[in-house]
Amino acid sequence: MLPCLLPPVFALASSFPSGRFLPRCGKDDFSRRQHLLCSDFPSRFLSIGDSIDLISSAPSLSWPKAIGKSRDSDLARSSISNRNGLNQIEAEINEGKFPFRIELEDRAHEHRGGSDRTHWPGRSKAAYRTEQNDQVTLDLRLYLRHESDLVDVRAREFSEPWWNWPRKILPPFCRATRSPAGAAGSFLRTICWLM
Amino acid sequence: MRRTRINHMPLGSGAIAGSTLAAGPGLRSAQLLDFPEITHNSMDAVSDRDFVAEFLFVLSLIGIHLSRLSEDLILFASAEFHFLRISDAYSTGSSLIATKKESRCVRIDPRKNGRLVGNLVALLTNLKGLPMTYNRDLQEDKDGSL
Repeated sequence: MLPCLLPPVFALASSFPSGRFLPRCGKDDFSRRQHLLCSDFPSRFLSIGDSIDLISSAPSLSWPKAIGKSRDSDLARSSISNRNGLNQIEAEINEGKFPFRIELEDRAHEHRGGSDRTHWPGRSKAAYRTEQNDQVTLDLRLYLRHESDLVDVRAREFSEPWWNWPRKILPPFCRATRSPAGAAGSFLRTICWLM
Repeated sequence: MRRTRINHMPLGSGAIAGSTLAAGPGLRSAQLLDFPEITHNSMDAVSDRDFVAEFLFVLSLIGIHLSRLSEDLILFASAEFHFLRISDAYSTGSSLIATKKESRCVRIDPRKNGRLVGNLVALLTNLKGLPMTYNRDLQEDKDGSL
């Protein structure tokens, strides 16, 4: 059953224009079909050998390059528009006039949505330009750094009274007052030092 | 506070292999965001969650010490020791014995600590076995840290 299905499936895959389902092609085949991708795309731009299917990879590499060169394209205009919009938002935030909407705060998601509406399908070839994995970890680092500052301050505020008062509020023979290193405040002081 | 792990700026790493956007891992961007260091490997930068694990560990350690202090207070305020007396402002009556005095705040605090330790263990278990670069499993790090 399976062998008799293979020829039509292979024919369908071969007719798929993106090349994703094609067998790996050599550089000769890539050069022959280069005009289908981008007219000014130099073949020497690729030095990836045979490890990646060239036909599949070329659009992903050539499209951002074409976008970068076209100064008067829609995308270039939208980039300027985005920049002006961000400046306007910054000014409105500083003046306290900006209405925050939670559903619009994911900037990368909104950027992708706008690109999908105006530049599909080319947007998919430039998807990596809007990847936000580094932005996610950067936001997490900024947030946790801010939170750790607050924890540090609160731990110090909490430990100060314990550092000074253990002999007043605790019995003289307990471990918290017998040795300075074991005083109750030193627990939290140690944590502050660790952080 | 020591921030040897969290103070590395990953901006410009993109998904794995960097980005062509102008906001690369330049020193200017790091200065604007007050980062003394930048990440030197984009694949590691987007997969690194050591700073989250360290933050959760510190929170767990604080919780453990507060828990031990609270247990000391409970013990010292008991009738057997009677070293100290907790103010009425921080105490309530018992649900069964109206005249009994219970120090609610120091009794609840040790039980809250289990959640902090649980967040740390959940993150470490999630990170265990993850390969290099970003994985969708890393989305789970928000539950405990945020």
